[in-house]
Amino acid sequence: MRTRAEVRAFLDSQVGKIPQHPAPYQDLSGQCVTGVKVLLDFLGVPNPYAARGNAKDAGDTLLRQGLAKPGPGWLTIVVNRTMGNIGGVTYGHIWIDLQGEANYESNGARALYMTKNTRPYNQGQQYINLDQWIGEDEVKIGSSENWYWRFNRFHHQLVRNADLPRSVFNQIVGLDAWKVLESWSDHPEANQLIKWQEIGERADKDKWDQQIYGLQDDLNIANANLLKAQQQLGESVSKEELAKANQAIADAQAAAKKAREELDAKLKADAEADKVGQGFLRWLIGKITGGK
Amino acid sequence: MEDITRQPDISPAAKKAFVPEPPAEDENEN
Repeated sequence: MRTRAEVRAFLDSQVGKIPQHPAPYQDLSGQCVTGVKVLLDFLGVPNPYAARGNAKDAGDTLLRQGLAKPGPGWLTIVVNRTMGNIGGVTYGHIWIDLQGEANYESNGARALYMTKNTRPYNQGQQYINLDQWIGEDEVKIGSSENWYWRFNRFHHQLVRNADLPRSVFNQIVGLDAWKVLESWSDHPEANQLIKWQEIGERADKDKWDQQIYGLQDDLNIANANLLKAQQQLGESVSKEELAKANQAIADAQAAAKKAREELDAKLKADAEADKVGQGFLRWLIGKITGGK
Repeated sequence: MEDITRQPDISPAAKKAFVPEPPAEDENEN
């Protein structure tokens, strides 16, 4: 499929040239029908140089063969059936019109040569279109800051959570935006980011931060109780008080142990639920327990 | 140099250079 930009550029490249017809009908080079045939060839239409009648009939043939659709489009073929009366025979005239942009004709205003904007649209009597052969225009990545901003954002979202290096940006300027997004979306790190996203969603939903702070508080209380019990032990004199202090220490140790076990169990369960998160959870465990 | 301003018909020079198409062969296509 050709894009509109490609069709424009192709037709402009033909202006001032004689459209060439291949063998065995090289003598048709430069004819108005040949001007349409070279376009058909460019568009990839089957048998572009087949004989489809003189100008007045060629539009009907293209419709009959399903190669064009009735009515004007963006890429319109215009036929006038009454022009081109030569030696008492009317052959008609055929040309190309890009809707609202330009028109191109061969052997019309200038013998055998392709000219641009020399044939008024309203001289047409039949309008058919070749839009079925036109694909979507590419959107090319520009070099301006808004393009950098947007693709830097895509980079964070699809490749890794880091700024897009300018050197990489410079390499994608001028490329088809869709193709670049497609390749980034297929990047191995993009899949990793999805997994991290899932962990993040679970952490947010289950309020891991609050759970961690709650368990940290329990641990701190247990540690404080232990310290207090140790102080009491130092100050105690009687046998009875010593026994009481020992019991307090044992209780505090048990509470601390319990809190730590709960925290470890919670983090371990989450780590086992998703191995991808282990690195992150190990970091959390280390952070909470001081690397123990 | 020919006049390539808009004309109501193809130019006289174009008429002089005209070559008709061979018979349509579309019945054998598709």
